[in-house]
Amino acid sequence: MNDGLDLSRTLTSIVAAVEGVGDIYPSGSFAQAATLTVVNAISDEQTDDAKVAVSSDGSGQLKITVTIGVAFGHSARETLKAVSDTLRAYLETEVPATQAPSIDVKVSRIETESSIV
Amino acid sequence: MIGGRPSGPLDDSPDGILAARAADGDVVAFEVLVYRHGALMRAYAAKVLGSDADADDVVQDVFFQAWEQLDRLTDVDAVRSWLMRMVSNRSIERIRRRKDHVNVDDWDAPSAVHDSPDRVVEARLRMGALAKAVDALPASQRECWVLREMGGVPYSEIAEQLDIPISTVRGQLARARRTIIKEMEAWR
Amino acid sequence: MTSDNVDPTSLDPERLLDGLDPSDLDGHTIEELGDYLDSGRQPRNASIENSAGSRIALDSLARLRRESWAMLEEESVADPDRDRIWMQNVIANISRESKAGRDIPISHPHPATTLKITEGSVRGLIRAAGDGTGGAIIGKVALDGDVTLPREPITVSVTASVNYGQNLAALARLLREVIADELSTHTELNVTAIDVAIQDVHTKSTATTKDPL
Repeated sequence: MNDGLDLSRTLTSIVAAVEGVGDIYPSGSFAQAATLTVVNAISDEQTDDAKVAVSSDGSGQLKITVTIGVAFGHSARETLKAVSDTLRAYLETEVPATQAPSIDVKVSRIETESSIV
Repeated sequence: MIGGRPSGPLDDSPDGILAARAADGDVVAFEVLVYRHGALMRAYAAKVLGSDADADDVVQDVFFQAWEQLDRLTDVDAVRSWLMRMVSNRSIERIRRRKDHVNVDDWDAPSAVHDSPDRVVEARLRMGALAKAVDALPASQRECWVLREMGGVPYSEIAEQLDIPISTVRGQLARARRTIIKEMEAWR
Repeated sequence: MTSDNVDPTSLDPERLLDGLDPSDLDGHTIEELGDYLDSGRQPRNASIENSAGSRIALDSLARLRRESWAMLEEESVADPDRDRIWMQNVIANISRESKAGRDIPISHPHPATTLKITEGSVRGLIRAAGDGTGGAIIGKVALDGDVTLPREPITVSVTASVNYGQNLAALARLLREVIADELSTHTELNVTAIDVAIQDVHTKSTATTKDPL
């Protein structure tokens, strides 16, 4: 099944399109998701276009984890909210589940005027 | 200084500032430190180990370690000597692993040909004569001499780390010193 | 080099540095002299300083050490091709994750949404904000207090340096404003104090935001 990887790819492109998002980094979520089953073993390998980590527990609750850089001129606070809200809106309509998905977004870099790409 | 790097505003910053920033995660500041001290560290390691390839490995490992441990450095202005001490320690470890000091009979064997590229100044110049004299020492004498005289590693530490008696370290040093002085006097 | 008829007081450096005859060094040993050199000849050892043999040996040792360092520096010639590859390897392989620090929470009404900013990214933000302000270069950045708890009072401590002797106290205050501004734009931290300590690299004079104007 490639569902996990496909979903990751879709979510990654959604996140990339959110205003204020710079780079998307690999998430360290797999180490944290010890009690959750990864949706698809293939998702273990985050590829360049599938950087959003997708996993689910037995009851079907999805856990989404993403790590981003904030583009210059945007507020980290606001960007975080925009990303999580956009993801939640998408998932609620496109991927119905028994429980609301858990969404973790982390900023690991804030670009500044002098940032080197 | 290592060449090939574009310049930036941190280039002239003192070591202490760079170390403080690197300890906080500033990769650019760390890069400046690597360029600033790396060449000397590699030259020193190459002198101890008699090999450029080994020196590159050792100094690379030192920088990985330095990145992790910079936040533990209390005297941020003493970055260079801190780095050099780490080079001494890792070089000694490497010598131990080589076990080229196990057989005492081999101790005065002439130095094996090593892969140092020919960057040493022409022999006529004093520095070149010194370099040649050091490079030509038997491995164990060279190691002890470079670690003690250039790295400032205490006798007891060389002895303990290489698992040899202090009297042996002294003996190696004395022989090395005698050879070097003799070579240098010849250039006077 | 020595013969049976050599004058025992002849002070030939090579013979002296052999260290085999302590009487040449008036009872001192080469190791002792080496350690004495290491300590910068402090505290002054009258017995060594008054021994002609020891002084000559010290001079030879000191010259040899200086020359050894000069030799290393000569050999530290830049080799751009070799250096670039090696350098890239170091930079590529250091773990940036290890400097991420603590996770700083951002609030959100939805119970299943968790938003965080890493401490490392906030430090980077403060460095960038401070760098260049009035010619300053930021040094150390510390966030004191439990940043992982919302609304916890936090103190920010920053060191900075300048090359040109501006009004250091005024610059410290300007940096504080700039930093406060960035923190409120990007985080929800309850910053109760921002302590900036600034030093002039050349004159070594300092000022902090705690100094009176």
